[in-house]
Amino acid sequence: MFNSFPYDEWSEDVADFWTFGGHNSTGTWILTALGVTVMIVLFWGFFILENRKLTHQANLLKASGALDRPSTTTGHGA
Amino acid sequence: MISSLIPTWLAQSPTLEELESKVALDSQILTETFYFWTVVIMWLIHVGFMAYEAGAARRKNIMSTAMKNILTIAVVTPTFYYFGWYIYGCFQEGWPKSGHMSPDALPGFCGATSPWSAQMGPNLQDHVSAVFFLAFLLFSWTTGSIMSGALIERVRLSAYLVLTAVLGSVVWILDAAWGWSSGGWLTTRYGFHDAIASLVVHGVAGAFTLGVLLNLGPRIGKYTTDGLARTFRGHNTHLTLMGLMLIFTGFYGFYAACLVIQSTVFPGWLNIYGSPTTLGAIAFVITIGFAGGFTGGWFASKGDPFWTLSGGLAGVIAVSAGADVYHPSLAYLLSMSGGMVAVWAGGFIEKKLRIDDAVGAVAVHGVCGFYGVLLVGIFAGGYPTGINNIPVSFGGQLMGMMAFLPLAFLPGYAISWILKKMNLLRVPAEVELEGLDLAEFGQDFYPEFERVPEIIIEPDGRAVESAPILLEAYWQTNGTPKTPVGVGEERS
Repeated sequence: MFNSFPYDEWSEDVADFWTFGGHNSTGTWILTALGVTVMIVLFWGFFILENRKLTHQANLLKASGALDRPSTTTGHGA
Repeated sequence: MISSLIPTWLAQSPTLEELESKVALDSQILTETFYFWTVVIMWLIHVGFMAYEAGAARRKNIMSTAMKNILTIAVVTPTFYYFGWYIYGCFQEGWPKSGHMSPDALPGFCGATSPWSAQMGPNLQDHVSAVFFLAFLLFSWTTGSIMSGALIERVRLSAYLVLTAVLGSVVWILDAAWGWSSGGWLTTRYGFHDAIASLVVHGVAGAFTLGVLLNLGPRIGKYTTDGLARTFRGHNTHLTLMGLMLIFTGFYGFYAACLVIQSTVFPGWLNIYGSPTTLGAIAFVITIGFAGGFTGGWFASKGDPFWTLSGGLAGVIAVSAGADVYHPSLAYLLSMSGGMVAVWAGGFIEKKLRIDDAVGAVAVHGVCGFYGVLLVGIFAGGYPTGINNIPVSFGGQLMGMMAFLPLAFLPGYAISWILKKMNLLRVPAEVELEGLDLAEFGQDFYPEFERVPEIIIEPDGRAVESAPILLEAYWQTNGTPKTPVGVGEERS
């Protein structure tokens, strides 16, 4: 099976694109751009995901009335 | 018989050029191995920061605190790889004078730091660049972790991640390019000397953190309506102290990684500026620095366990800038003063400025970082720094301090101000009261332990149940708490 696969030719192509086989090549530029893009998108994702969780929980707490001031409360502490 | 073998041995013996080549390779691999292990040891700093901050958090905020430390690694690593290291390589002269051939002091270094360069990946001809990058990366994580603890229990994770990426991959590494490199303009023109990064790592992280804290504001209930400070009890002081001890262990790797060694190129150990020192000298200073710092922290805080250990850290930071040249006795005395300065500064920041820094990061790292660089100007004045042999001077040290204070403080303040205006800096007040762990992760992280009422320490020293106090603070401000002196202003 291995003998029938054009491994040498294929591996050189792959190495040139996906590894540092050819640094400063089109492949390394594309990989860098992809990495930077993903990184930026993930920052946006951190905000979206967390904001969704926090807003949901804050709304639940407000709706439950657990944090409302009792009408007869005179206050504590400071 | 033997004489017949001599021609064979001679034929097999390597030439002088071959021997030189082998020695050079061994030297490179020794350097590679050395930096690799400093990186491994420096991981302990981050284990320590996580334990330290999680222990200082109340039970309801344990995992949200720890997650900041974990995700610091997730965001600072790619940002530092994609642009942080490039900033260090290219901006040492302020702006690269000769493009990728900059800086003059280390020709071609700029081009070698771009993420697509041959030095930044598998390269059989280069055993040093990748591990050198990794050592700097670990310093970057450290700057983020320094800020992390100060903001706990109310900052949004996502806001923190943006702030830590800017601090770890832009701010600190730009100041390192200017003042912590052989080609930095502060080094080559003014002899700025900060050998083990008192200011370039610690001081800068502290100043950036201060800018963030001004916008973030205090935790709900931290201050009375009269502006007096209450104290929140961390859920596990032992974990906090263990974390600090782990940070100290990791600091030995940090110190070692601040030196340069390559036996076939340099005559011995060099500091980051290219001036000679020894590994033993800096290890001596860090060790006696802990001794002095613990002592100073103990006496200044009258035996407070948190400040005794933080005093050790402050003591070491106070002597780090001159650790390559200080006499051990001098380091002992200066570190003791550093431990005391941290305690006093911490009290001033909390009680007078009314800034809620949950772990004293601004005092320990920020104040003592600047203090350490100032001390070098006094006690190591005249010592030649760097490849230009510019003498250390009080004025040169002040120049570095004046450059780095705005460089660090302003971005921290500006970015956190923008996040605040976008309502993305701080968690909702309701979530802060309930605890961040339930909102972020939907669980209590000590499920097998019974919940007991949370305790808060009043300004007069009384330990009381916190719930009524926190609710009152929430009601008084209609869910938008602020300190009575305006520090923190209205929350987002």
